[in-house]
Amino acid sequence: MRLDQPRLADHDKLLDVGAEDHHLQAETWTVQINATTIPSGTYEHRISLSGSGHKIAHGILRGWPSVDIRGHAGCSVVGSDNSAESMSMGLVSYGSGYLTSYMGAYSRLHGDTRLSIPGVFGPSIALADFYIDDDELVLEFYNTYGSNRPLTCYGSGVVK
Amino acid sequence: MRIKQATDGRSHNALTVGVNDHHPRPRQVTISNTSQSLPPGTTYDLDIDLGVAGYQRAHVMIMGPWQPTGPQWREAAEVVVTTDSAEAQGYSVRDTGSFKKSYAATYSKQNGDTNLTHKIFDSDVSGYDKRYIALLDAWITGSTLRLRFKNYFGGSKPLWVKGQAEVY
Repeated sequence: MRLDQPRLADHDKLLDVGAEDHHLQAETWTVQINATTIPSGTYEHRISLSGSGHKIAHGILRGWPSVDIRGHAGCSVVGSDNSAESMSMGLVSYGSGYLTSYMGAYSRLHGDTRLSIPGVFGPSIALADFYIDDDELVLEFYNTYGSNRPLTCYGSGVVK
Repeated sequence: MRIKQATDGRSHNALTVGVNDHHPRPRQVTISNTSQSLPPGTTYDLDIDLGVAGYQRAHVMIMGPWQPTGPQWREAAEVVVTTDSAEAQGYSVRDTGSFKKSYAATYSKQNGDTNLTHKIFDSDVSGYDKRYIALLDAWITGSTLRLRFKNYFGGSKPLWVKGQAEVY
């Protein structure tokens, strides 16, 4: 019996992969929000992507310098597409006149309601969620204060 | 004039396409094990099924149980994982007992570290400094993301780890 050589035409069967496994090129994204006033509650910042189909987003976000720590608060954050699940770690000084800091991990996937403490992205402002929505990347912030607060967030990352 | 497209001179049939040129779509996977008991000095491989072989990299975020004042003090680690080289690098975050004391550290298998994190993954949180289980190594093998933990204590200790990974 003659053995057939693998051919490109047999690609899908040979490698057991389908169209779903052929995905978009990775692309970078950036965010620049400088003391934009947001109301109390949830505020969405949406970033347009080149198209739909991305599955994973990762970024490094810089927040607000609430206390002089010679740097800014921020976090490393990962989000996926339809599950809106994320986890972040961050470092920030908070309080007034105290050299207090925190380091923590947050996971929406495992039950946390936010991805940072309030105060990382402005006074009383936390990162609440981070996910891909079709052809947009969504950064969801939450202002825990009773009235307007300035939101600051700089950063960049990759979607794949 | 016709504009000719640039080519590299190869015909279609001459192209060499290997398995590594076809990789599965990036995805997110859940990591959770709060039940496995590790005998003294032993390792345990927590295998996460990726569904299909071909993934080359993983970005892992995992956390331990210790959170004295809420998740803002939760111990955690972030690790970059590869396949053939089985090399990773991460950092851990830990409260050392007082609310105003903490530290962060980096670890690198490539540069000679034994572990990839501090000992932050056992569920015994009876004392702030009583920690015994560390992430020893991590790599991708076939369709599995493998996280290898080690119990450094002289008795059995229960594992506690939750988190997620992106693989691509």
